[in-house]
Amino acid sequence: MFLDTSTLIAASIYLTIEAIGKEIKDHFYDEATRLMSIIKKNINKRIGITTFIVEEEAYTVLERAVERKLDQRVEREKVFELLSIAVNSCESRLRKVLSSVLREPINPVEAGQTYISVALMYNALEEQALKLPKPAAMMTDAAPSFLNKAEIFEMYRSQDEILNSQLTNLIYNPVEDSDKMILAQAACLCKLYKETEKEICYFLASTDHHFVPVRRQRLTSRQVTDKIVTNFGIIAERPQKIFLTLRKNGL
Amino acid sequence: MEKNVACDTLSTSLEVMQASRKIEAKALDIIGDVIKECENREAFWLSNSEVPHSTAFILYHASRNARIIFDKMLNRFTFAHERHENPSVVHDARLVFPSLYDICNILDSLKERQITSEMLQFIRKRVRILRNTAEKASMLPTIEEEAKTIDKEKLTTELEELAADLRVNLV
Repeated sequence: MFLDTSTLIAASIYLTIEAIGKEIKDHFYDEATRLMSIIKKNINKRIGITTFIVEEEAYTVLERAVERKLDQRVEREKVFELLSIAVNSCESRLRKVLSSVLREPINPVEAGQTYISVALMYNALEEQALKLPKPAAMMTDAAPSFLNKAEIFEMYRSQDEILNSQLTNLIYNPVEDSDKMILAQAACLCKLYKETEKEICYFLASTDHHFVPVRRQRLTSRQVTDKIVTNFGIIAERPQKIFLTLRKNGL
Repeated sequence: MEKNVACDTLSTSLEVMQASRKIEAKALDIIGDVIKECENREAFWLSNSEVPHSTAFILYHASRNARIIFDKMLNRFTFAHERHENPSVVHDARLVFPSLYDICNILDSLKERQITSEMLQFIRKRVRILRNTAEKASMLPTIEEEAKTIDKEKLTTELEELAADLRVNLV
């Protein structure tokens, strides 16, 4: 299982202040930590992997968040010490998380070639997103005449929006080059593992919507996730889903 | 470049204590002097309005980390007899001292210089190395120890804002 930056960060943002009985954690902290507990329990099986780029990216993401905070007008005397403690706390956790996963070396030439395939895949998906049909109007026309057409249209439209949200998300939040490279590296390792192991299920643990399905109101949008499976044989999923799958398989 | 007199004195003192396998009484004063030098560095970067907040913070953060590790060292030396850590505490101090010495020298060398983003990246990595080494030598204070004297409510707010920002910018 390949851990991406978002999962590493999610497992690192946690602080408990006993004095005030408060706990601060990332929205995905619990599920990321559950997955980490399986990785730790099976540490000899080396099931959690990552790469140098992902590690560096995780530290950079934390640094950028601090920089954004400092870009606002701040009184140094009031903020610096607090931020320094917060950074130490997050980085300490991140270091502990990283100590349980295997950092795999990557062939840069192979990763570069795979990056091109990843970039082409996202370009094609973005084009697909721009040409999405709008079936809500057609389905509303086909609805029985005694129903309120405006309400029916709204219902179908919101369904369309959810079912296509993973694709449309690519237009509003274009995938960063660093994330394309992370997927390329995950794909290189997936290929390598599949060459050496007979039967293997290779996961990418992430919370990013340009990798994992979008789930809302019992509906799932997974066009990008499915394309990743087809093109690279990688199952991109949220940490919680992977945790449940692994537990079902006795890990 | 400014000379780290207290750091040099501590270096010599640690060597003497390692050879004699005994803690010198004056070691506490020497570590105390080193802590004062670190506090001066922290104050320098806090008040230096010529550099942007983000640059000053990285240098402050490095100075502060050096100081809290020296604080932990002082605490361990103070209670070494009670905790039967004599002379193992000297050995631990010698493990972390080179990284501390390096970071203090680097920070002093930057006081008069134009600071580039490469330098800041270098400092960030040195701080991580320092904290890793300190942890291995049991010279790293816990987060509870670090946060002992600060306003917990304000710390909570800072981390909550940081967590929210990370989530917005990650997904």
